[in-house]
Amino acid sequence: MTYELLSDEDIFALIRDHNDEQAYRALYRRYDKRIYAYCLRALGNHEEAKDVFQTVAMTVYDKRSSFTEGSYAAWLFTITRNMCLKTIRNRKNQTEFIEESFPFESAETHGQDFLLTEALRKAISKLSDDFRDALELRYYDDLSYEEIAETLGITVALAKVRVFRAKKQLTKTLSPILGELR
Amino acid sequence: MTNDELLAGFLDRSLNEDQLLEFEARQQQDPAFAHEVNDMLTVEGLLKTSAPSGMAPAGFLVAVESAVALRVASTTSAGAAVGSVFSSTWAWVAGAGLAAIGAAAIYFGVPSANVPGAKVPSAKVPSANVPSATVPSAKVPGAMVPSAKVPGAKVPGANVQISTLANQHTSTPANQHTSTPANQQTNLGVDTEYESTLAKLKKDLEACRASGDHIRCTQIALQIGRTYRERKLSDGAMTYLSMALEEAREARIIQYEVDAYGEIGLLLRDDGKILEGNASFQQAIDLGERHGIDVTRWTRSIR
Repeated sequence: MTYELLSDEDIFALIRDHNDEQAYRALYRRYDKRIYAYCLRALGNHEEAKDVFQTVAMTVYDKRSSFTEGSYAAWLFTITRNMCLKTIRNRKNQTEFIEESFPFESAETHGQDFLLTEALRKAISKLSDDFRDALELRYYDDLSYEEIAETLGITVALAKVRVFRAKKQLTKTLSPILGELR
Repeated sequence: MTNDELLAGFLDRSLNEDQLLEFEARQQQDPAFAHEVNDMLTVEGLLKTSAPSGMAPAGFLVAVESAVALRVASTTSAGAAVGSVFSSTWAWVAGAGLAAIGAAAIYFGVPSANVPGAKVPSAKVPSANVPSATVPSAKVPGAMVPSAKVPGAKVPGANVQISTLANQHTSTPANQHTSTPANQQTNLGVDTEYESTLAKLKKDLEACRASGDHIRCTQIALQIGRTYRERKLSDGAMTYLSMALEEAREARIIQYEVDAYGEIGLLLRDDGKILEGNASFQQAIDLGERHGIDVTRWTRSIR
């Protein structure tokens, strides 16, 4: 069977209803890197990101019968987000992680203007949680507005508003740098 | 429409033709708006290209995939085994009746072996064969404690299993010797669980071969072969992958046949037999392409 042509939900049905191992692998590979990147972004260190990622992978399979409709991506990101939030809440010593070096590739490796990218990251970190969540789900996790809305438990219209306002706020924060580029 | 509405619509590509005309006109009339549009487009471009690309440690994602896939395959076979026993209402009724007799025998101190028929259901439906026995039910959102944060504490077994698989994937004999007694104890437990799952799969494979269910046999043989390959146990891997190939041919499922050829290619390649590995990849590719199956993975694997 060629899983490439099937939607996430169709593949998931094969896993849920038939325990199709190949379907599981196909669906896993569609999201593994994105989910890991999300965990790493949310938690800021590989150790916790690995723990949460493993738990998500297990939970998705264990809870397969509870997903029957809607977007698989939204469901998956909802589980991931909830687990990341729980991990953050459970941290006993939060200061341990706050200033830890961000384990992402340096912006320089992408050949981009390092200063601009750093300024963008700082600006994103200053957004409110609501705005940042919506913005990152849109641009870093590549979710549709419908999926963002489902993940965050808000309306599609509100998802759009949050993403737009986040971008406006970023533009405003970065305007001095952007002005120099003009 | 307000400037924001026009801008939001433009960025989302949701403006209709009239609105686009209005948007362009607004840009020409209002230089501040035009600047804002430019800045927003720059930020949007930056957002799209600056996604942090946090890479998972080598082998980690594959190890997690294999661990969960093993459970999926295990569930398939165990579920089918249980299903075949209780496939009819009468079997359920009989099973329940015999279980009641068995329970009564235990309660009254009578050895269950002495109760006619009581042995049958208990032997055919061992609890260890049910997936939930190897999958702790505590693994629900909120019930998890990250294993790395609580060394030696009560960690759900499946989580340990994955961690250990990940370690096995990248570990060397040298660092295996440096593990602490506590780790050794944990690994021993995991290996036991791992071996018991494999043993269960092998038993299921035997049963399904006897029943002639080639599709299920292919799935299980592939899983066992893949697991052996990942554990660097070449002989076992080749035995089961070859079996998977045979079963896939019997079942006439090209996808599985392609997978088996590909897995054999990986095995040969890992053993340093590059030419033979490439030949197996090529067979996977040729077969897949003839039947419109995606073979990108095997194309990339050829050296």
